[in-house]
Amino acid sequence: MSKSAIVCQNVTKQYGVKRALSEFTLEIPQGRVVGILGPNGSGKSTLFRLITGLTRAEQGSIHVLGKLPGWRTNCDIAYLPDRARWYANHTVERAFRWAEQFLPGFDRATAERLAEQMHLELDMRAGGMSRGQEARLMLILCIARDVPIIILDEPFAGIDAISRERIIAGLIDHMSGGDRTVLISTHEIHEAEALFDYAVFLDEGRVLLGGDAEQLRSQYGAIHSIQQTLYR
Amino acid sequence: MPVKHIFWPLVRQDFKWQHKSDRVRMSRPWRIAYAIAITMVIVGLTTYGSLVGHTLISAAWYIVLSLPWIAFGTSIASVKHEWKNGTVGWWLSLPISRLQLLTSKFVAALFRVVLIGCGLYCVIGVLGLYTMALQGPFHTDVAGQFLLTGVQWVMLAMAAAPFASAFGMLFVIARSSKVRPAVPLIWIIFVAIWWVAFSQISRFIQTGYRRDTHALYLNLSPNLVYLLLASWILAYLLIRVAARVLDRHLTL
Repeated sequence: MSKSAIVCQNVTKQYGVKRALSEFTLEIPQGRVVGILGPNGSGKSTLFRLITGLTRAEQGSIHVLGKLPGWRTNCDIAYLPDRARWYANHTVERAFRWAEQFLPGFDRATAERLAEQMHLELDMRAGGMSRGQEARLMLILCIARDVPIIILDEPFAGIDAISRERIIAGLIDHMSGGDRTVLISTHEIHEAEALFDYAVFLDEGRVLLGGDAEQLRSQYGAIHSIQQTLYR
Repeated sequence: MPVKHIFWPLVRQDFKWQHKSDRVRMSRPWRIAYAIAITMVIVGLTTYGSLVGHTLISAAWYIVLSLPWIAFGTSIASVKHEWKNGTVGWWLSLPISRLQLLTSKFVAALFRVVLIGCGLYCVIGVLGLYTMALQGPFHTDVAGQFLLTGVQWVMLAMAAAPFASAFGMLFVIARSSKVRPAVPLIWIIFVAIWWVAFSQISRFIQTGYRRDTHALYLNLSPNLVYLLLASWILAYLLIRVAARVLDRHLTL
């Protein structure tokens, strides 16, 4: 039986009167590419913020690689936040230097290879980039890190189809066969489905369905059709 | 780079931060044009004031009392900047404690205040000497006294900056947290502390001015050291409270 990368037990997180996560229980195995799926407000981003220690749960427990989440465990997590932007005055090159200084496990050579693959020039400034180019830069800053967990919160949001294809191709190429646990939340299930080998469907702060992607497909059909059935 | 070594690079990054987003930054020629225009206006007004005898050399150094407020404002802006520019997620997920995250911004804000303080000192110093030269007779001992008094004023204002900066940190973090309802209370406490400090300031500082020579004097009581030390301890506690709020009570 594989070890767990992330374990959530009866986690409740509330924003005012609204419950973002409600007695949420989930176990994510190590070394899988996991699709965290669900409509807006289902608790995906809240789950990621709890895992990275950005916020704290009111009840329940979370363990990341067997430890309580916080700034120390962030050494082991590459996190692309929801609706994130990059420092406008940074060029790609400066962003890589920044990452070398502040992000443990960042590999400059890998980042430069990915930048070339995703059509980013080193002298491009983030402030002058298109949304898709900026998203690719931020994605590179995450996936060029040698860490056990990568979390990508809506990495394709607001990005045109060509950029999406480039990002997904880059992800598939870079992450195939790795032993890292990758959590990706997205609404673009059609295009991203090939990435996932594990899927979790959330709704109203609870897990509706979860498991090995192949098993789910054999039971229910394609991942996007499961979503259509679940959230009908 | 090991995690324990990222504090000073973070201070450097926070120090370099610019208030205006680079997405809408004014171009270099425009900035130069504005700098020249402002310099011409200041020099023009100083020259006119000197020639008609309406100089305010005695009050010139009071301008540096704005430094604690600048510290307060830049601290708020440097934290707010992370939210406004969409980089807050990157900032908060750095593998460094909340206390160090805030302390790096706090230290960067103080460095900025030192830089602005030095700049203000040079500008006021040059304008003051220029006024003395225009009005004449120019006494080097009076000019020296004027510049020395300026050093005292700038040091005094800089010494008050840590408290103001720490309060700014707590204020801006509280606004983005579950303790937001306490923000008006924080303001009231801040204003009350400043009011008490200024009402008692004559016990610690005496100023004097000789109109005939433009000579300015500033006598600082030794007890002022205790007051400043107390403000620094308070600043440290405020940063700790702000870090605690950032860690436990943030609303994202």
